[in-house]
Amino acid sequence: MRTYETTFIVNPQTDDATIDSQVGAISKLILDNGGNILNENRMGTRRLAYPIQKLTQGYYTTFVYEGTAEVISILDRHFNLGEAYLRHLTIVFEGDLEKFNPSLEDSNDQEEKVAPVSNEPEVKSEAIEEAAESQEEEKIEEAEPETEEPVAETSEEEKPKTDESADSKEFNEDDQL
Amino acid sequence: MKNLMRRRKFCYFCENRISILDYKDERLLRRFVNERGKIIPRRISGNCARHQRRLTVSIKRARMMAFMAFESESFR
Repeated sequence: MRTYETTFIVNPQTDDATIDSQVGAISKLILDNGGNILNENRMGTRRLAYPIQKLTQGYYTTFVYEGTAEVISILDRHFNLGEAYLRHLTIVFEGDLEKFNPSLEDSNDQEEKVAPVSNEPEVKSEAIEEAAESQEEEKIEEAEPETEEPVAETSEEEKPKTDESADSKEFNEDDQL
Repeated sequence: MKNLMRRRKFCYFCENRISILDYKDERLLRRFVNERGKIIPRRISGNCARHQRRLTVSIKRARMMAFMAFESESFR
């Protein structure tokens, strides 16, 4: 079980009931296939950055849920078959799970045996590690720009670049102003 | 834009302690894209390698989901 985030766009030029049923179909598919929905966020009708199927607006919905990889392929199939779905995108959820903590805690308390708690600490520890890493990086950069960064490329390579970029930036600044 | 230019050495995301980028946050991503909708290179935006990598992925996702334009003549 991993935590996924699926966003999809539904054709908004239908009545609310149809949109509801189309969104509901997705949540039903997730639940029916052993998924556990943590959050449903309906962003509602938004302007599309470019027309899709000659539509300029789309109805956006995001689901954050726990599930197996099978759920993803089932959802994919459903999205591709349904003509009302303009776009869909599923990614591994990397945001802050604590945002949904009240619901998480509730579900854990109620069904402690069913819901595996193992998922939660893993993700959190990753986030913490990342935060720590980025802090380290910052500190190093602040203290001594010449020391090599432990993670990425050597700073020697970057040094001349930054000098150059300083110039080019100034140029750019002038250009834009 | 002016803020980014002024303090060239600092990565916007390191500075603001943003470790997780959301492709749905179009207003944030828009700062790192030029008028044509092209991704601004690291050399100009001053982002660190890690965050620039994540940023490009997020911008590309945002484009796929029509949060941002792939290209445009008159952006913004």
